[in-house]
Amino acid sequence: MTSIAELFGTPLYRSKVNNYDEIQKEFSYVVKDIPFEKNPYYGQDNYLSHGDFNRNIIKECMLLKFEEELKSHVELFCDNLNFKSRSYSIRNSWIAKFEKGNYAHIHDHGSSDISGVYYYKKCDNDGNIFFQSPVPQSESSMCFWNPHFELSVEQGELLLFPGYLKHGIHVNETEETRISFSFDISFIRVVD
Amino acid sequence: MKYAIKDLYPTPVYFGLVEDKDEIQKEFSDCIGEIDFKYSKSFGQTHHLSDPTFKEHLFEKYKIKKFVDELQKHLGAYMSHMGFQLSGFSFESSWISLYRKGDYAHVHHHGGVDISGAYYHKINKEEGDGQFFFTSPNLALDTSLMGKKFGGRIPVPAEEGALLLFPGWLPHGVETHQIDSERIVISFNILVQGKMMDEEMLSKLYK
Repeated sequence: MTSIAELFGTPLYRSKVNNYDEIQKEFSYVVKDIPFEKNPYYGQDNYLSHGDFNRNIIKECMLLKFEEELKSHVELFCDNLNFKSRSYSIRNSWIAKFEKGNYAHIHDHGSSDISGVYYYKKCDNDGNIFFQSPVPQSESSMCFWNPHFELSVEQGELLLFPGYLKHGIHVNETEETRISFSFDISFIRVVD
Repeated sequence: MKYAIKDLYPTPVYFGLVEDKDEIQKEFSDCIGEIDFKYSKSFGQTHHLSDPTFKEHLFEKYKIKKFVDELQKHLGAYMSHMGFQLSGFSFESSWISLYRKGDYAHVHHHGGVDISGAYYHKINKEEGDGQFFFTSPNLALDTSLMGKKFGGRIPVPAEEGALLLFPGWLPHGVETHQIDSERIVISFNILVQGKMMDEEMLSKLYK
């Protein structure tokens, strides 16, 4: 008798939104008025709704349908991890726009409990998201294969993952603009 | 709602039972009688070791052949699972840990070796037998609010004749042994030779 247990993985949640048409419509009103800019510290990677990440597009633009949809996904994610869901706040959210040649360097979202992305405008070859192992010692080990995990997602999909998980986005090789909404969630620490 | 949750970057741990248990148990029983177990001075009063310096090689010193032959099969299966084409291996070290009442093993890893392992020679089925456990190799899993639910310690059920293989970098320890009957575990570190499958084959394996 032999068995191999896979221990201490990092969960990645993936789902299509239910209320796709309404959510797309909600985002379309926001996207058209955004003066996208590049973060001067990042170089030529991609365009952002605000380069300092200190704002909250979802709250500012009252993206209520998306917020409601997101809540159900967060609850489902937590339930599956046997984590008792609690109140949370979306502490920041922003839009990322990728023109031809744009990409996102490998980064994490710091102390965010859950980070996520919604794919508003996406087509094939416009840059897949990829994740990097959070266990560097496994990457430098001779007999363990831990390459970047690349994910091909579709427009209307939502990803959720722990903020510590490093990720990046491959180069957009198409003429099409790729647009996604990213956000960081923090669970409420103090309950009145 | 249709959704999927993928477990990214888990650590594979191998568990197997040896086929030739009686012979292997005898092989170790014969050498255990000759050993003067001691605490490691640098560890303090943790658990008794056949060689507190970890410089001796138990398998060579006592000509442990049956176990090594058996181990080779398990190591091959473990490596195949990970997509590593094993062409050879060598032992970096091997020793015996003996737990008397009050003994334990602090959380540690085995540094730069490729594979570490444990063979359970004497285990007690009663409560209080020091249980082997792994801790997360991903510190962020333990320190994030959500992550600590699925990080933390994972206890490993023990059985006489069972063999455990895991990456040398995976932290582990043994809880305090609380009963009078001794607990004896054979430990070893392995360096492997070989290469990973090409990326196309690996992609199929991991799909």
